[in-house]
Amino acid sequence: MEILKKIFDFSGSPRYGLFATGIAGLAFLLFPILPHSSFSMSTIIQFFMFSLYAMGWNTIGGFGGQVDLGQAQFLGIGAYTTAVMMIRWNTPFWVSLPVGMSLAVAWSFVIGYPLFRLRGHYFAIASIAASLVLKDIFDAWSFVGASRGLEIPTTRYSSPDFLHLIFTQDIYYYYVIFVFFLLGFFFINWFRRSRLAFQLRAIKSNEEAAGSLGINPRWAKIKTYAIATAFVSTVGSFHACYIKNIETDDTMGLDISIMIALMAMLGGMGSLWGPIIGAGILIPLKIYIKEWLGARAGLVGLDLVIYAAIIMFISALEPRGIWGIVEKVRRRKLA
Amino acid sequence: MDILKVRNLSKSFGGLQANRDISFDVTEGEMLGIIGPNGAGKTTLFNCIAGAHPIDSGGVIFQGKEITGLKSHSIAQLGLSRTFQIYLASGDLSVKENIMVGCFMKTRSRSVAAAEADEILKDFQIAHLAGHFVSELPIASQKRVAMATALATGPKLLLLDEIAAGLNPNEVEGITNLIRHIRENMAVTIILIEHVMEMVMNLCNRVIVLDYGKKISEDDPRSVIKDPAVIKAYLGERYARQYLEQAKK
Repeated sequence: MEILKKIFDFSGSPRYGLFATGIAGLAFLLFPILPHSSFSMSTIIQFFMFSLYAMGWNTIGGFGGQVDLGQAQFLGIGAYTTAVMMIRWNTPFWVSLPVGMSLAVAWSFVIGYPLFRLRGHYFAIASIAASLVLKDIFDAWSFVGASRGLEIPTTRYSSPDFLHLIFTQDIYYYYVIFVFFLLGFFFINWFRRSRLAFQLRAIKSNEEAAGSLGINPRWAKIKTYAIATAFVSTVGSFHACYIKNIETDDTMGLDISIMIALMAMLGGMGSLWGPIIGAGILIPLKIYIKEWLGARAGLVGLDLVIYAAIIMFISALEPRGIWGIVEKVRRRKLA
Repeated sequence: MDILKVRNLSKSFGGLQANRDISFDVTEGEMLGIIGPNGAGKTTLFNCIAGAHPIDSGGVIFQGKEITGLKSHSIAQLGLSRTFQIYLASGDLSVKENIMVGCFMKTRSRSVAAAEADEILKDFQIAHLAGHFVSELPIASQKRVAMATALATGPKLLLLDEIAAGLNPNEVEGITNLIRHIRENMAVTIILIEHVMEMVMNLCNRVIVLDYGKKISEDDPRSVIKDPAVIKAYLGERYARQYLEQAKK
C-alpha cells in the first residue's frame, strides 16, 4: 500500500496542472471511440511508444546526465527477441516480452560495465559504437533474418489475438500501448523521488562530490542503465507485434537512438514531463511535416530542416528544455 | 583512541612530489588543523586520505581498519566525510535535496531522509534557504550547505577543506561558532585545512604544518606559531609577533 501511495504521489504539482493532466488522460482514453483518421491513430500510438523510449532514456540521460546514444540496440534486442520467438516457436507476446527484457538488461550490464568507465563525450561516442556493432552483427546473422529482416506471419493468428498481440485494428494496439504508457508514467513518478534518482542527480552535478557522500557512481549508473533498457526493450517487443516487419534499420539505427535522446532533451531532461512533451512535439511534427511537405509538395528533406531549427531554437533559449521554461516561469511567479 | 593513523604517506604527480613521507595520528574527539603555504600539499593529503587519489606509498588506517586503496565512496560509507575547497555539488539540486543526498547514505526511505534533512537545516540555521539552488546563494551560505551535506552522512571523522576561504570576518566568526556547535553536539572528530589563522588558533588543539609536501612541525597552536621553521615557511615574522603579543594580553 505504501508503494502505491508513492506511485500516485503528485504533491508538489500545482492543482491546475493535475486538472489538465486528468483532462488529457481522459481525452486519450476516449480518442479511439471518437471520430478520427487512421493516420492520427497511428501518430498517437507512435507518440506513446516514443514517450516510453524517452522516459527510459531520461533515467540515465536526464537524471544521471549520461548522454547515451545507443538506446536503439536495446529496442532491437526487444523487437528481435519477440519476433524470433513468435516466428519460430509461436511464443506468446507476454512470454517473449520478459525474455527480451532480460536479454536486453543482461546486455546492458555487459556493455555498461566497460562503458561507464568513460565520461562525457567519450561515453556518448562509445555508446554509439556499441549500438552500431550490435546492429552490424544482426545484419549478418541469419538466425535473425540478417539484412532481410523478419516478418511475423499474421495469417497464423485470428485477430484479435491478445496472447500474441496480433490485431488487424489499431484500436487494440492503441489501448495496449496506452496501458504501458500509464505504467511507465507512474513508475517514473515514483522513480524521480527515489534514493537512486537523488544519487543520480548528485552524480550529474559532480562525480567526486557524489563519491564523497558514499555513492558508488559506476554502480548507480549501471543500475539505472538497466532501468532504461527495460523501458526501451519492452516497447521494442511491442514494436515487433505492431509493425510486424522488423529490420535493423527501423529498430537499431543511429537515427532512432538520437531521436530518443533528442525528445528527452527538447522536453526537459530529468523531469517527469520532459520526455512526454518532447515526444508530443517531435512525433506529430515529424509525421505531419513529412506527410505535407514531403509526400504532397515534394519538398523532401524540408521536414528535417524545420525539425532541426526547432531544436536549435529551444536549446538556445533554455538548455533545460521546454519543461525548464515552464519551471522558470513557475519559480518567477512564486518569487 | 586514535581514529585516524596516517603512515609514511607519499604521493607524487609526475615529477611533482605533493606529499612526502607524512605520518600523524588523530585522536578521537580532537580538532586538528593543517596549515601551510599554497601548494604545500594540504588538499592532496585530504584527497589521499579520503580515497580521491590513489596513494603511491604508505598507508591510512581509519578506526583500526586499513583504508588504503579503497574508493572514496567505500571510505565515506565507513564514516569519513569531507568538504571540497570549491563547493561542487549544485546542478539542479536544491539546498534541501543536497542534504538529502547525504542522508540517503544511511537510509533508503525518502521520508526519513527528508525529516533528517529538515533537522540539519534547522541546526545549521539555513532552513529559510531549503528551496533555493546552491548556485544562487552567497558563498557563506554555500559553505554551510557543504558542511551540512557532509555531516548528513553521519561521519565519525570530518575533513573540512578551507571552509572559511572567501568569507568576511563576521562570516568567519559565524562558521567558527558553527564548527564549535557541531563538535559539542555530535560525536565527530574534525580535521581542518585553513589559511584563516584566527580560526585555527581558536578551534584547534593541535596543528600540523606542511611545506613542500613535508610535515615540518606538529604541536599545539601556541607552540607552532613560535616555531622558527613555521615562521619562515608560512607565517612570516610580523604575523607571529603580532599574534604572540595578542596572546600575552
